[in-house]
Amino acid sequence: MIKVIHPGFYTTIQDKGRFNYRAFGVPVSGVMDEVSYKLLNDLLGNHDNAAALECTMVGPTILFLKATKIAITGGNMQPQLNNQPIQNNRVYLVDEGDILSFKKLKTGYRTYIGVFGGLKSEVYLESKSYYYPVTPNKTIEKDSEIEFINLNDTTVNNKIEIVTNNITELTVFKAPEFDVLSTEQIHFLETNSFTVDKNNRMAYQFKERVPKGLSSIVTSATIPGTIQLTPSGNLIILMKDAQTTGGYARIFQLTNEAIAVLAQKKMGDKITFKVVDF
Amino acid sequence: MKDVEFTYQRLGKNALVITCKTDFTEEVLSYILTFKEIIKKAFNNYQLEIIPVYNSITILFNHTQVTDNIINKLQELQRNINHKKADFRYNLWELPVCYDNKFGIDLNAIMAATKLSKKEIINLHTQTTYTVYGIGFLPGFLYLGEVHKSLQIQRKSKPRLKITKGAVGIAGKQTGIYPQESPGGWNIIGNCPVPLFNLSKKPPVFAKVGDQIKFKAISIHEYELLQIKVAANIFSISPVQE
Repeated sequence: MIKVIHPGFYTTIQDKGRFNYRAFGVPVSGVMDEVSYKLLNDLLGNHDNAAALECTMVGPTILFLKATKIAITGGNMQPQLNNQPIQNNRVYLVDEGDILSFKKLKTGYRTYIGVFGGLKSEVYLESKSYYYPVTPNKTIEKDSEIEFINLNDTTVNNKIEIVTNNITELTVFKAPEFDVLSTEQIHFLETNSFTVDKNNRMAYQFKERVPKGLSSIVTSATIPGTIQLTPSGNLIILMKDAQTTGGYARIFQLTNEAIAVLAQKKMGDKITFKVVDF
Repeated sequence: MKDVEFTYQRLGKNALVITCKTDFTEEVLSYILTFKEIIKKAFNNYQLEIIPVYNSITILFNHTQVTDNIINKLQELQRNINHKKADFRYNLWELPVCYDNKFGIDLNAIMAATKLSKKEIINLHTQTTYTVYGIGFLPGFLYLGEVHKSLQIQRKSKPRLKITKGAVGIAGKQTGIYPQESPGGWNIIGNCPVPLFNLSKKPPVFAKVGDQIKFKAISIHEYELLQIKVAANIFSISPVQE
């Protein structure tokens, strides 16, 4: 098992999410960056729903009480094993007593830590993804212990090709209320860059205002990646812990890949939108 | 409902939003819920979720892209709906609410604004049978309508950072219960000890869209007894039998 020496800024256990309870108002939750999560489980040879730690901005310090294989993907928080630098996107064998820690965030915003076989954690409504009050925990806690299975395969496969790039363009589809936008508003959205303001697992907000905004709609369903435009011109991009319904106009829908790109953006980063057809 | 049109719009590759072109009414909701049952049957091989709310129905496919074929199939199913015969069953639930000032923290303000007495406010709130128009916002949050005209108070301009779990509130035409502690701007008139979202039950939410809800005033003593039962997990709620 692992012991949490220090939990980091906002670290949770996540898997793909919970899909059968959205009609009850339970958000999907699950990893914000599905691309990094898939790479993590592929590197470790894990099941594609194996639970991992999702770290935000400041990584945790973790003591391994048992040997296992680990990998780290997503943002670069300068991981260290026993105070020696290690790399993202590689598999490492760790021993009982090894300590994983992180230094300052260099690129990206969210980092994933995976172990061989995935983390063991209580399942609530068919998923291990942390979401209070469905799960009793909001984040991992100092001194808590998290189990994982015994290592039965010490081979380390680092043959997966990694492609890293710094994408700032978010690909979007038109959403149900797109047609209510004026030509000027569409032009504004397609030609400007937008600066990330407040953000968390529920939503990303942006500094710039879209002139005139859009009227509210009769409350309807929303999903992660839905981009809302409020009457006062605020853009809100809903993410994995967002409400399942909303009364703001839905103008765009991010592709799944674009959601993963946005999950690695932090306050001050700039993005642009590219509208594509279905 | 014969001539009412619906729009079919994609929400990303895996979801479809079907919206009635008119505003929401009980008749529109009834039609949507009938359509929901038809969709469930016709697509029972697919992993999907259906979210009916107010005047729209959204289909979320877990693994399937929404193709033109799927849209055509849905439109054909819709054309064949026998709209005169609503084909869904709903329950009537009676929810206990304690309107004591300890819980109804906005009651005094509402009395001042509406010139109604506390008794009149409670009567107006409990005499209406509300329809569940949707579930969302929070796990187990029921969108209920419509509040009696005299009791339609706009939500507070400055929301509270913390509203107690179970708080019963009013915002315009809507009334509802906060299923968990949450920030919120509704006017709070009481508290309901029955859990709206309960992980130890299957399903975790007892009410369905289309169900009817009535509130019943209870004393603090009755409230405390129910609270104990709920905490001991020996409380369960049953629909009102016709």
